[in-house]
Amino acid sequence: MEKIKTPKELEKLRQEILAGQKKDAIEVTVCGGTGCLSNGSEQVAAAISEEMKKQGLNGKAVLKKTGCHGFCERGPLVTINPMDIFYQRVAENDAADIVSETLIKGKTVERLLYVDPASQKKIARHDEIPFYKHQFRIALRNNGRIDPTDIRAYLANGGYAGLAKAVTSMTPVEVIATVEKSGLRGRGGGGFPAGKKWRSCREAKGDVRYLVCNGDEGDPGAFMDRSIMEGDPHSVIEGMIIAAFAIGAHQGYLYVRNEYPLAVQNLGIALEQAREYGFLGKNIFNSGFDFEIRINRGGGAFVCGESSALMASLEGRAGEPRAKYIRSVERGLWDKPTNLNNVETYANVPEIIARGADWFASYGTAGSKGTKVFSLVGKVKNTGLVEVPMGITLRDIIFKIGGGILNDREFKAVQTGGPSGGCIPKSMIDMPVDFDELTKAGSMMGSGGMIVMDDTDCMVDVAKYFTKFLEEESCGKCTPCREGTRRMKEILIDISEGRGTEESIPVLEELAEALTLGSLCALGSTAANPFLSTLRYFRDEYEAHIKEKRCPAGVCKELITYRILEDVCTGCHRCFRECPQQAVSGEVKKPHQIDKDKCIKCGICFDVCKFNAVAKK
Amino acid sequence: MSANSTPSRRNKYFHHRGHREHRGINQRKTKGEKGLLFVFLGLEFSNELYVFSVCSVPSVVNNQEKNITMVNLTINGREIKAEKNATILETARDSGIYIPTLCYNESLGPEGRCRLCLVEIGEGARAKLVSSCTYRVEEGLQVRTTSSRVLKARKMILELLLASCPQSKTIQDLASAHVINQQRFRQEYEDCILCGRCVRMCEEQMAAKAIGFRGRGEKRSLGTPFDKNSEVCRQCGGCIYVCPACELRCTYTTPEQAICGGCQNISPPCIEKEMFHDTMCYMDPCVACEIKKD
Repeated sequence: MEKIKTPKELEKLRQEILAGQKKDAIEVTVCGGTGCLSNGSEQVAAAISEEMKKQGLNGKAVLKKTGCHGFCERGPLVTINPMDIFYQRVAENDAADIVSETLIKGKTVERLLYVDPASQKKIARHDEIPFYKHQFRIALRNNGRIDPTDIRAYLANGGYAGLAKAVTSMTPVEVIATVEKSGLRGRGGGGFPAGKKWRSCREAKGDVRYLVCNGDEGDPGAFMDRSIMEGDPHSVIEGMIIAAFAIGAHQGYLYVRNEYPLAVQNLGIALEQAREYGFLGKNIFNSGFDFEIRINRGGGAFVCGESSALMASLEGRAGEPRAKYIRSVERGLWDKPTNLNNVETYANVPEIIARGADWFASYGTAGSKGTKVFSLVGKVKNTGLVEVPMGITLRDIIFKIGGGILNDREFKAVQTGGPSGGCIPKSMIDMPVDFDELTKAGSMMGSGGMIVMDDTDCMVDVAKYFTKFLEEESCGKCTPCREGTRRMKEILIDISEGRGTEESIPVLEELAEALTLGSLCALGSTAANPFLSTLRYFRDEYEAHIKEKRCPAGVCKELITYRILEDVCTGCHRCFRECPQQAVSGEVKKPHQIDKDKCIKCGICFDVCKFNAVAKK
Repeated sequence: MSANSTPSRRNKYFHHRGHREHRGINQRKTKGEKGLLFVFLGLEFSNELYVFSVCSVPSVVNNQEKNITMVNLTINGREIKAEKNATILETARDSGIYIPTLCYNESLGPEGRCRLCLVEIGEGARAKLVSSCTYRVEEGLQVRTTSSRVLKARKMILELLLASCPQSKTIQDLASAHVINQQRFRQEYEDCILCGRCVRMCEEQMAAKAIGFRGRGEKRSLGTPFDKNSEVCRQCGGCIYVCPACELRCTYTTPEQAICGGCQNISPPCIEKEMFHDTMCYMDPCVACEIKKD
């Protein structure tokens, strides 16, 4: 393969690729993201391919394995273009029908269509599904549309045009000015303006500069960076090359956690291809600019998502943060000026350069431009990856895209920003989502996790869970974080097990203040957020646990009792049979009782009762 | 002497990361501090390191001759001139202002682990707490070492340490000085406060790297890899010497000279010979063992 040297050659190649694609060919895409893979999409793809051969479709239809489509809840997903048909929960034995009905006869297979939970109507077209209809995709633009292991697919969609434009027709300073003007803020959590960071890195004293991409996504329930790295690795690589050109770096590092083997694999393939086409290596686009990228796998410590800990880990030392009084843009990796951004930030860059700063800045709010990818999980009907313009309300995300609360229960709160974020209560559901608004509400944007909770979630339990996570993931370097999170967890466990005292909340508040003020890095200084935000909006729940020894949501095991309602119980004997402790007694067709001394509060009787005769209090 | 304060003459062992935010050991005033000289002289050393140690005497005059840039700052409202590369902690101590520390040692690179040396800088909404051992002075910096926020954080840190390592004399003294008479957490009896002084001693001064941190979070501990006897440990005892949790134990040779009896509050690790085999026990006869016999 000859290396591409000018934007003209790139455009010519793109036209060639487009011409090579058969216009009337039907395209079947099977999602190959981690979510769908674990649901068996690999087998589905193999079965479809087999059926296509069997039914003589060779040449008329193309099968593609793409990255994550986002709608992981409904996986494995299959889309068929140009008809834009969307099939969900496809199994191996559906392959024959898909091929014979849809590919040959052009009909839809009704049973595989998505049913809108609101209207109970079947929706055939991908774009009409509410989950996708309200999204606007920049960072995820190619996800689910292209084969991530084929650079030609990326090129056909206008890939590397941004790089060509930046390197051949712009100066590094102009690139920085464009990114600054676009208002792109770091998507990793802090929300620091990317252009400003690049500028200070470019202006920092030093001969060698490094560029790092933070792919160490560790928040429980967050998977947007993984999906981008798996599904569209070239967008991250292109963004990194543009950033390296802007700041004057010649070596880049992609720090990916080792738990993401598919991301590592696809990024490796993409790097190899980019080198082959001359987008990486020496003299990129004949501009004299050299750049190389290396993948480093992280060992899976949450704290290594913190920039200075990540750099320590890259240098081969233990992942411990250092005091950042001298910023890493001045002294980072190996004491050289280093620019570190998140995967999603880099993925936005090529589009900003190719389409201009004004286009990007036209989306979003005054302080937060563009879009943000959220991983919408928890008690919501449609879970998955969503990309929406900044400033959209929480209500729109949860009810329009997410389809509302599971089992139509009552919405209680949404936890944003990962473990260091906070819970936003129902009363603030019409709040616009952007960096500043979330911070004002006592939470944060973080990397974009969004966990929806309903009235069966206990906020003390939520705070306990996240504090426990942070305690385990604290590196242990500084005293407040190591000892403080441990003691916070201890007290929260005490509260949830009925040992809370009048003193518990004041002590927790003091601890939280010391953690926030005194910790070395952002992990410690935000570690109190789960507690502080739940206390701010749900103080009554804490008080119920402490004063009345009662868990209003019925989650904290030590504080609840199970009781059989005599007038509802039909004496079906089901709970009698299922109880592992033989704590249920009673005769058939007569109301049963639970022996409180024997009961271990496992909740099986509650779950199995068909008549809602078991009460939890 | 003057030549010795240029970086090129530094011992090769000092050109590594631990010292990057550091003035360099040979530019520091030692002012009667029980210097590392004490340990060094009695023990086995390479010539190079030995020469270096002997020469590590203050050379403030040299700094002024070389026109070191000075900056003006205020600490607790007092106007102070300080060398540009000095940290807040060094400047405060030079000016006689007390800031408590645990993980800091003049001879070791600062890391800001214990967070006891927190001070407040900046004004109004931009005011924040920083660890004075790692923060360098700036022109016009306004430092408060005892603001209410500093005291709150410091007291909580001490209370946390008291809850986990109540037997250490150093921590008892610090707690008492900060009027902490009780702690509100579940009492534990750990020996180690994980300040990392011994790790830095072993790495920076002894160039051995025999011990280090293991694990993270609650599971973090200190020791040799896999708890095996270290092949690179020279049994110099430097780690025990710099330990702030049992600082006073090794600074005297006869029981009569023990001023505070701090060592008797804790169980000295040397006694637990079975646990340490010969790794840690470097003194013959072992002082701690001698005391225990009496």
